[in-house]
Amino acid sequence: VSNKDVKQDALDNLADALTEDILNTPDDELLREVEEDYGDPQALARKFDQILERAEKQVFGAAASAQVPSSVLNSPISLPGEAIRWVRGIFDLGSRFSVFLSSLRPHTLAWSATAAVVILVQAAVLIAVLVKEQGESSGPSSAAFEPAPMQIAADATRKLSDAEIAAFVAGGRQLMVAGDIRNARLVLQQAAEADNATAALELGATYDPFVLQQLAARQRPYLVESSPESERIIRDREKKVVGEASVEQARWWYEKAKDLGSTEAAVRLERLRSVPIELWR
Amino acid sequence: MSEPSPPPPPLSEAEIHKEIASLTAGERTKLIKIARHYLWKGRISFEEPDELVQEALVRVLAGKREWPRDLSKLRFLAGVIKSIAGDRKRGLGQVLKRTVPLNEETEVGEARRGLMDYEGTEARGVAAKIDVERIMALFEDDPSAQKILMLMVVDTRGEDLQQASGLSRTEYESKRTKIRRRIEKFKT
Repeated sequence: VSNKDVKQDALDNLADALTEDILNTPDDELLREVEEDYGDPQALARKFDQILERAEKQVFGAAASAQVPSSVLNSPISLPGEAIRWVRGIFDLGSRFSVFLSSLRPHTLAWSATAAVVILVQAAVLIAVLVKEQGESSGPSSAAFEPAPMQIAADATRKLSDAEIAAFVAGGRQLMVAGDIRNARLVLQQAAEADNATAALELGATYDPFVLQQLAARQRPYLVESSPESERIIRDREKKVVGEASVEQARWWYEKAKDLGSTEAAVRLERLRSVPIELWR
Repeated sequence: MSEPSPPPPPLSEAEIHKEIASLTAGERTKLIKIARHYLWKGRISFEEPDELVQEALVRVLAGKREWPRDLSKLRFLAGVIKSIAGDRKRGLGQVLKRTVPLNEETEVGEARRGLMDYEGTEARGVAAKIDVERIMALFEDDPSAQKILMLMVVDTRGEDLQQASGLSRTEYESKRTKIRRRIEKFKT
């Protein structure tokens, strides 16, 4: 793996070395490690599949992803055996009909015209079968053929480029890490309002009491010397960080992220349920 | 004198899909593990390795990264993961600079100024040093592992690394696995 234009630091060098190690480790050995860590050798492979599904959704849109899951990548079209037999039967019927017509041979022109009609009928039947199959396989509604709500909403909101959205999300996170929660919200809101699921999730996190608690705790190890005064400063800071929490706001943005396709948002919403309602703000 | 033949064209969209769909369970596992090593909390903008992998897949699927025909799929995808981690680390301020002018009298402009201040400090360098020290502390019981780690962080590679470690091939490989596993457990 080489990317020489990126300025390397100690941790990048270490990551490169460990990456080489992973690339050179036999697959079965790594799967054994995963089994040891997660009790299931396929745990990370399955995680990858979920990520791939999300990536496909992001690139091809929600509707396209629902119709073209990764499994389709392996086979261009998949129909149940019964439907395939049905389509073949129609073709057999058509070919028998064609043979019958050709055996009459009254006028070549008339035969050609009839054969053309037969081909058109076959094509129409085939299309009908495929459309019927698609309708059945995509669930009770035909929602998969309609534009996804997020696409419609995106048209109605401010258009941001991928790079801008990525920058806002990244910027928001950096500000969060730096403990600048209010400015993190302002930055993340730009992308969240452009209907970006990750931004909505991150914005929700800026109000999430659990995330804020972790953020406050993460700053603690950087305290070099412990003294009553520094402890007091840290405690005040923690209190201030945690004081930024708002379960209601967190829920609102997590709900939005969930609607936009974030699976993590659902997990966080579930976690928020454990917060007693009297502590909501 | 014949002209050198042009390089083969990169993989087409259909070929990219086929390559990704054909990743084995072991290969998919490797990519997730690799992303974890390029992800150091707070140093780049991804909080979870999933997001880094997702971003890499998005770029590849959207055709934003050319996939050279002569590069193995694992090396290529690992390279994209690394490259995105690097881009995020250094390019954030630049993209924001284009997006929001520094003198814009808005709340976002204010936020960006705050961010640029943070970027300008040595906070990241300090955080990296702390991370390296924490990792070294994991191997206090194993001086030869610490020696290999130090060589890794100063970018010693391959045969040189093994020779400098002073260990036999088998001992060295077993030590590297131990280092990787302990760091993985530390980070998860």
